[in-house]
Amino acid sequence: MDRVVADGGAEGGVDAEAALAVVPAGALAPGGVLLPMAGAWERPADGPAAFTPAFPPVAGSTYVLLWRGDGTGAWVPLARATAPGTPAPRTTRVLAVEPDVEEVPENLLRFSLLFSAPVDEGGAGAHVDLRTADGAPLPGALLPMPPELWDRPRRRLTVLLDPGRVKRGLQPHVQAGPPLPRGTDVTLSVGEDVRDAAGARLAAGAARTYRVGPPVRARVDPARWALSWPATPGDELAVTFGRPLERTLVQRCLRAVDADGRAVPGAAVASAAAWRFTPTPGAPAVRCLHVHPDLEDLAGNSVRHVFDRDLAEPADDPVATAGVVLHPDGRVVVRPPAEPSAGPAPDDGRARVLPPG
Amino acid sequence: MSDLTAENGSPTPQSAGPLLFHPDVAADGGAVLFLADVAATRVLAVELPPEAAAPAQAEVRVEQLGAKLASLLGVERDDVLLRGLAVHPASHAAYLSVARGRGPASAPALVRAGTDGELSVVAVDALPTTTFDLDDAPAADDTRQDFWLDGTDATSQVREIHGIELQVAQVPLRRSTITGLAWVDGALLVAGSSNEEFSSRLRRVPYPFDGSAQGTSVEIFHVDHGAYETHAPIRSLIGFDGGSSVLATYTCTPVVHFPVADLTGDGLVRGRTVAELGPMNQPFSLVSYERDGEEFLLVSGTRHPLLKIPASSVAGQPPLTQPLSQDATALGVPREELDHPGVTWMASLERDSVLVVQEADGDLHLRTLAAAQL
Repeated sequence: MDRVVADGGAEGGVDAEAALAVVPAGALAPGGVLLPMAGAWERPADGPAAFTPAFPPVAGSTYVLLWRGDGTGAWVPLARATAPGTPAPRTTRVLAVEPDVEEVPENLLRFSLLFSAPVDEGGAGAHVDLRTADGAPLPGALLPMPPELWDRPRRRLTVLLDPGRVKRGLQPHVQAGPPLPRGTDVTLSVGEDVRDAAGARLAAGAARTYRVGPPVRARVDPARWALSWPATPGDELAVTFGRPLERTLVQRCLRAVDADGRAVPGAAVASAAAWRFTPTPGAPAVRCLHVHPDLEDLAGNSVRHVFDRDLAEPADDPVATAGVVLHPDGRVVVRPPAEPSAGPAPDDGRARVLPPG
Repeated sequence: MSDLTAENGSPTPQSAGPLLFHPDVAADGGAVLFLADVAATRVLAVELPPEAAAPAQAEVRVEQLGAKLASLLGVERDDVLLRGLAVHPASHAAYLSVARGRGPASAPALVRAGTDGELSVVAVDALPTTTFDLDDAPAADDTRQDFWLDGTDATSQVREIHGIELQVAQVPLRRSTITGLAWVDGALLVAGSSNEEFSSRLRRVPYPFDGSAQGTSVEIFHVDHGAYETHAPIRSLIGFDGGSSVLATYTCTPVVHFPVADLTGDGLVRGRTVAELGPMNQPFSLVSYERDGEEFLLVSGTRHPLLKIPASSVAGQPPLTQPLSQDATALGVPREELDHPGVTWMASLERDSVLVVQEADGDLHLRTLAAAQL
């Protein structure tokens, strides 16, 4: 239904906009206000008037055509119509609840939800819930405000725990404590009433339970990782982190680099715990591993900064760096800041696929 | 998702986000409105048709704004979400950025509320528009395909590259959500948060847009009570003190102050905390106004009440260094709680009046609060 056509009772010379209006049915219900829908009326000299709404009608919603004679006085309902459209099938699922770990630190900064299809923006946050394992709510643990933090395809939603309560230096932390109770289990759930981009609810909700462990307050230090370098070119490079890291940043921030400083083409598998890289057959040999300093762990500590740095603690001092380079001989090179990168630009998140050979 | 470009070649917004007027008005009453398009990660500058100057002491008042927007936009009450508010510098009409509808019927709407209380939809795609893409937005004509080779991603597909079949998935496309716009020191400041790393993305963009953005290397921090220093994504911000400084709210609770000069350089910028809200109350909107010749700052939160802070004490406030306490009143500058419950969005109307969106009686209302009431 793109247009409403009103035929009959031609009021010669009466302006269609003054005499006719279309409204959604809710405007006539208690709590509603009657305001003509935005749109354009056409009123040819003979023939039916036609109304094209400024915005698409909502499938399944009812609209009412109103008339008020000479353009003043009360509106009178003339007809109702329901916009056609079958409800979209419920096919969208929750593919993953992240982080993909069993235990999270008490100062966990965020959860993420990965959906199988694009999701409608603006309403999902209301259906995400954090509770203790007993089902008791944890009020104020999740940051409630808009805007929602989505990736570009709107399939991955990041939900923050209230940073005001995570950060040690703020009133909310002092008054309400950290969002997650240490030593207990918490369950993050997403309800099936989340709408996908087609307007359908999810096929099912999802939930994941985590144990809450001690807080993590230290920089991400690549020097502490366990690396297994390929024995022969073409073998896998395996990296195991000292503690769980933020998976999407692992994908973005680690790069196997060849002798010319270019990214080695291959297949990478990233998780919170590890990164495994297999070069494509015939690719140049892996010479070193580049780590971009934006890499964060689950508590928001990065290579450069502790999330909430204790100014009295020298170990918390930030490290100014453009990145860390790990070599097979065990050398760890911390590149100075703003050094022109000989390799791929690390910050734009684009891993170039280079032709082999 | 609709095409970015309408038939006449003018870019159309894909989503509703914050609004801001360019402070200058043409002689005929024409003004430029900045719209943040969050889904497209871009800012649009729309040249509005001229509007007549407002009569003195003009007010904007729309009762039952939520119900009226629903009827005007052809949806149910629940399908109308306010995403931005700005006041036309000549006519003092209120412009509202509205997210309308869900799923396939969803669209951004720009609605004008005149000083006569009338609501009308502004057809943005019919107006001259220029755009600025934030630097992490892929170019529309970029035909390169950026891949991460990861056979385990549910969306990965087999592709043939130079004779070799590889299982590829796309690099997760992170997105900066634009949370605030401000006009400071002759340029547009765009604040936002990434969905991946926890840091500020603050950009200083000259207008007319020339494709450049400055100050992107600024990292925003704050020091909490002299003890801890943290990254702090800026949520909203306004110019203050005649444009020499900026007041901002963070994603966590503080309201902070920066000299403008700090935001135009490189490196770290540490905002000076001037106020902190309590738990479960995030700062929502900031405006300044004048009463009896004195400037005040008004802060609304996601919970009540409205806070009023004398500007003179903001300028003179030393950084909050006293130890934290359980007593919520010992939180920096002297402040007063005002009895105007349910206020969220705010915008300056005149120097001595503030336009607010107030929740009451189950609906939203657009109201003007005079300085004498604040």
